[in-house]
Amino acid sequence: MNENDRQFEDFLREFKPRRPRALPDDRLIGLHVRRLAAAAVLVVSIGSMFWVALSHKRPATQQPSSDRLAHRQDDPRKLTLIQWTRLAERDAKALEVNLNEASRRSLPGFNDPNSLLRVLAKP
Amino acid sequence: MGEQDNPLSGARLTADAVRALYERHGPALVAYACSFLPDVSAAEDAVHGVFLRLLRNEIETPQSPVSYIYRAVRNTALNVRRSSIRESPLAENQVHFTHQSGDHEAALGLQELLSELPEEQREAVVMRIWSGMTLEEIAVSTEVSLNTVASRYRYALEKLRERMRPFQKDRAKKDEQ
Repeated sequence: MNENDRQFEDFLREFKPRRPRALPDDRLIGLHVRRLAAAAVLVVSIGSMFWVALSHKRPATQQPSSDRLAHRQDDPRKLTLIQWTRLAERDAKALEVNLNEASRRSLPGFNDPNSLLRVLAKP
Repeated sequence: MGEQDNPLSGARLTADAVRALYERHGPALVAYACSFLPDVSAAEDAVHGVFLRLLRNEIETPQSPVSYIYRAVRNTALNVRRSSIRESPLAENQVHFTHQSGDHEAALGLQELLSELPEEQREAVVMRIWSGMTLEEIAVSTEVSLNTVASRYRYALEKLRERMRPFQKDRAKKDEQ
């Protein structure tokens, strides 16, 4: 390194690179981490609540009694094919009422191989 | 800036140490990142990203944090460049150097010349001139011999001096007046 080099280095140092924006405050960085943790806890809590709610609900829908089915007369569209079949087996009167109610809202399909009428017509 | 009197060296950096590094080397690192990225804000984002990871203690730094940060900024900038769909050339109005007497033209000239230098030479100049590192420190940082760094630096200075001569003469004239 000679004198010319040093002079040229000094000349280059007259140029200043632009200062970048300041780094965020430490507290904000901590806040960011805490927010993430809080969001994770919230997601896990809501997920657990849904899971518990669904697992309690499942047995009730799997084995409906004929009494409970009979009480669904107010909205027969909610009954599934299995529930209709069970109703036909266990409570003919309730089936009649539900069929009457359903017929006011919709007609069962005739062409589908799994249609309600075909199922009910099976010996 | 010897390693023994540098409180910043070590595996984990404290927030104060990271901020001190940012104050000292941030501007030079942005200038360095600008040579890989099409605009200043992208370069600033790359530098910011590295320092934020350091502040959050997400990464451990080796013995020489400055060299590590230079590597990290370079890799981040290259990743950003690779992932960007379209590469646009450096916009002419984006100046990331300023001259102390406001010589805008000379600042633009220097910026352009730096971007034309080979990466190793540019790295040596930025580390030496704007990060204030010695050639020995640059050699440790870049993991090459002192002789190699000295040659790179000398070649870079020669190229820059040749092309910056008109601006340097203008400065001398203005100073005489």
